[in-house]
Amino acid sequence: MEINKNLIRNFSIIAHIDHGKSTLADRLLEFTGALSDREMSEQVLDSMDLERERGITIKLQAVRLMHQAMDGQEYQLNLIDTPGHVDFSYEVSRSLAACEGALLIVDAAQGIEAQTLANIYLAMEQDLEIIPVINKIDLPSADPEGVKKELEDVLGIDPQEVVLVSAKTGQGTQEILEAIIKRIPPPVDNADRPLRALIFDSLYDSYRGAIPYIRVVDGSIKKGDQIKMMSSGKTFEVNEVGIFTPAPKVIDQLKAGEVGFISASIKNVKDTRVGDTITTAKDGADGPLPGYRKATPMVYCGLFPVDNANYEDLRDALERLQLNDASLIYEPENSVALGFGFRCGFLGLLHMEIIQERLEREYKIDLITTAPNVIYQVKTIDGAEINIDNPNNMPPVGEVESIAEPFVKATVMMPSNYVGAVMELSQEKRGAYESMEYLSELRVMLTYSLPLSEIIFDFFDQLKSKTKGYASLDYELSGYRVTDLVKLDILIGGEIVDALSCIVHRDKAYYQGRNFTNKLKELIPRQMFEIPIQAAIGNKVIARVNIKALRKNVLDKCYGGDISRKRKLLEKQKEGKKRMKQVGKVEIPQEAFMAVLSID
Amino acid sequence: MEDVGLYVHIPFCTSKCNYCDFVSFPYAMVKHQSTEYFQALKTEMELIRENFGALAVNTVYFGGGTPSLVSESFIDYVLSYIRRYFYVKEGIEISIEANPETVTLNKFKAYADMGINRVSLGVQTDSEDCLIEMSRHHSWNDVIYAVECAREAGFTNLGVDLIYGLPGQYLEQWENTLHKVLEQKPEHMSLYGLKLSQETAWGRLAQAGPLTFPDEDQQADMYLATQEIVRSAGLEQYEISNYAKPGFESRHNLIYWRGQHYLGIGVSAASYYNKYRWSNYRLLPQYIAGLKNRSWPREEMLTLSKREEMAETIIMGLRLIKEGVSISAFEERFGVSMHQIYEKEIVSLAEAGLIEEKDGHLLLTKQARLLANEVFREFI
Repeated sequence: MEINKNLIRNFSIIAHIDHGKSTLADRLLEFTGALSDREMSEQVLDSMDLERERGITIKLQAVRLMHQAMDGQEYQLNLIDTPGHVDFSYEVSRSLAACEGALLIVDAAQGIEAQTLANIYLAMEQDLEIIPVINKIDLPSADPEGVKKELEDVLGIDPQEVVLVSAKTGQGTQEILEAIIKRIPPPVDNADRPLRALIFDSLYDSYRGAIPYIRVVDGSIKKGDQIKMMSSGKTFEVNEVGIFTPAPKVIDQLKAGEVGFISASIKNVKDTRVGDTITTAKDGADGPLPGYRKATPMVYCGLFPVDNANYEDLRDALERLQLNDASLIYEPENSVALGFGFRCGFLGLLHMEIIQERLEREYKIDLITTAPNVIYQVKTIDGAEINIDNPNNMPPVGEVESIAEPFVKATVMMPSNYVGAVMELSQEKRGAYESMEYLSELRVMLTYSLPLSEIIFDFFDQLKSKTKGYASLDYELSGYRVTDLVKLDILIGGEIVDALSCIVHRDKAYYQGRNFTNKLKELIPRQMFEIPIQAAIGNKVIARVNIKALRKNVLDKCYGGDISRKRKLLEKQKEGKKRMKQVGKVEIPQEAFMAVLSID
Repeated sequence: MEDVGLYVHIPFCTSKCNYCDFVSFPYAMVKHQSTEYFQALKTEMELIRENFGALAVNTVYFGGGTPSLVSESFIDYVLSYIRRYFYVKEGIEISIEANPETVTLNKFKAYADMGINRVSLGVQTDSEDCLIEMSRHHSWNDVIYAVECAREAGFTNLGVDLIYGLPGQYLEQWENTLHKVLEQKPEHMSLYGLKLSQETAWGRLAQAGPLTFPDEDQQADMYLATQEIVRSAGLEQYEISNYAKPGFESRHNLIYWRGQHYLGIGVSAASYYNKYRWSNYRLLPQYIAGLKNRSWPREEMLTLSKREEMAETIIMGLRLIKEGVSISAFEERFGVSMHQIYEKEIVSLAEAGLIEEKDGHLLLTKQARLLANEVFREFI
């Protein structure tokens, strides 16, 4: 079936987290009849349990909607969903690159938030037509007029263009669809050019292999075509071409302007990198579409199975997760304290948490996670430059010339009465003030330059608590800078516990050392001997506490009815002991390793 | 068949003490069921007789609850059926637990007449404030009176139970308690560090905050002081929490610690017989109704593996401070040597100074008494 290019619209929805993106997508699906009511489960597009639970979209999806517009024509609307978190901003940018327009959703009660702004800048970079949508107008606290004014003041958006909706009640759904058709331009017809298709996502299917989701920009693609990935030069034969309705449906071909998927016996998602361009193996395009870059992990941590016998299971699980997530990287790591595990790299903190949760939930592996860290650039005195993703690989103090750490430009938006608190927090986290702008009389945007390591530690949690949840944060990497960093070691019973080592700023080392040791004192149970806990930089001990020797652990009473009950109690104690990690003579509970993650 | 110890649970109390997690019911509320309860005890003994034959009994122990709360005729009734359904040897230990405020000279005389020869008195503390705090119903004067009556009725084997680690208690207070109680010259003392259980009133109060208890270190100090004070009064420690004049060790309780067999009769009572452990229903109506139908009132039954029996034999035996676990008896019972099974554990615990071998017995060292769980765990 030949479709007139003028009847195609490709669009994304961009929004700050919780502004109702998924609910609105559901309404669009419902309204256009893509799903019957019966098939409608809440928020269809968030297909992973985890996504639904956290209310965020992690994996992108693309759906083709057919809509009979007021002008009597039937339009093909391709909705490309985007993840709503800063960790995945590259993925967002690629999704946007696959579209001609975007719905910008803003909560009628919350107004513009940090990610609203970040997303809209991404959309503007792609030169997209933006349809501003104010959602949740059914809320009692909704202030659509105020938000309109904010949009106008901050982003120069004409209040006349704003569509008011309630994704919850469905009010305004039709207006959105009409706006999409009227305002977003149809794709340019480049069907006669050599194939160029942008990969904006991919999925791993255990039968068909990696399935790239594509936007055909030039030419067309169909079953039997020999294709080439332009970043790697690898070639494949197309087995299937299809669209999502949202259920996958095989069709004959995808032509310039259309969105869909292909399958081509691609064994690994690594060969379907987001942002890459697909062309034909022979007589392909001269150059790729702009914007491809390899996803680089920014945050690293060690993942260790609680039970070392599960090491192989963990490896298998990571392998399988990586099939679907090329940005996850891992390599074996061996810790004296925790045994065999993996050093894993993630796009950001949320990405890290998601992977951890999936490992524990879907693969049922109990994990010990070490404190996350960034990549440090270390210059040694003999002139070598090395990247350090694990504090334990830090060269000895005497060999280090300098250490540089990544900084980000962080944008925080908040009600103006919290400015003081946020400034104080940013200062505390070694931030350098850059600018402050009033978005309205009541809302302020602060820009700070902050070390990424502070952000991944607990900046976000503290920001939320200091602003009662009203602040929103966005950040982008701004480069490396040399700072005065030191490796902080923790010694338990006189031995360094490698899994607890971390890299901190020298000015904070004393404070952190004291915090760590105190926290560990709380968490490590008394044992039959005294246990010194020390924090040290190199050979210099900067904090020390002692856990007193255990004095009394005895069942005072043990008679007829107690015996088996007490035996079971002891069995349980023994089981608990087994789950502890032994360093020297000292047994350390798992929580102790997690504890450094939650120190304030 | 091997002889058994017989335990009879009398689950009635005036009210629940704030630290207690035993199965007991307020007597005023269930008094109308007491006749039925004692009949049920009789039926349970009948069932045992039908199933196991006439077993020889070498100790009888009435525990609770508060066995001294009910009329002595109920106790007599149970004892007469014990004598009918079991072979009760001459001169065996027959004990009863008593609370000071529930006994009189006549009651003790009645106990003596029916053959009871050992009384275990629930004193707990001498502090009047603390007794109130615990919801006990006696005073120190009641204790003195009870001891006098017991002696006058002819009891020459009198035990006293005390608890240390009570709210607000400090070392000197506990030492005074011990001295005061020792003046009453008991033959036996059971001295327990308070363990707060979540199911008790105190457990909840401690968590909520209004009550503060001595911590682990203070309890340890109290324990160490106890050993000295009690020893100098002529009582020897023979178990982790038990002290007696030589020859007055609780023979019934020794059955538990030596891994020998016992049968428990009554609601919630526990039995160990022939590698089976079981315990009875914990609810009164369920227990009574079950026995009305002449069905076993068992709630759960556990078959011990050989390995579990061995572990229990060692951890219970090690509680006996002086006698420990006989290495030859262990081998005789299980057909395998203790060292063969537990070589690694024995060596490392001995190296750590926590156990020792003396005259063919495995014993806890003095310093291990307070850390016995750390030792026991290794044998599980």
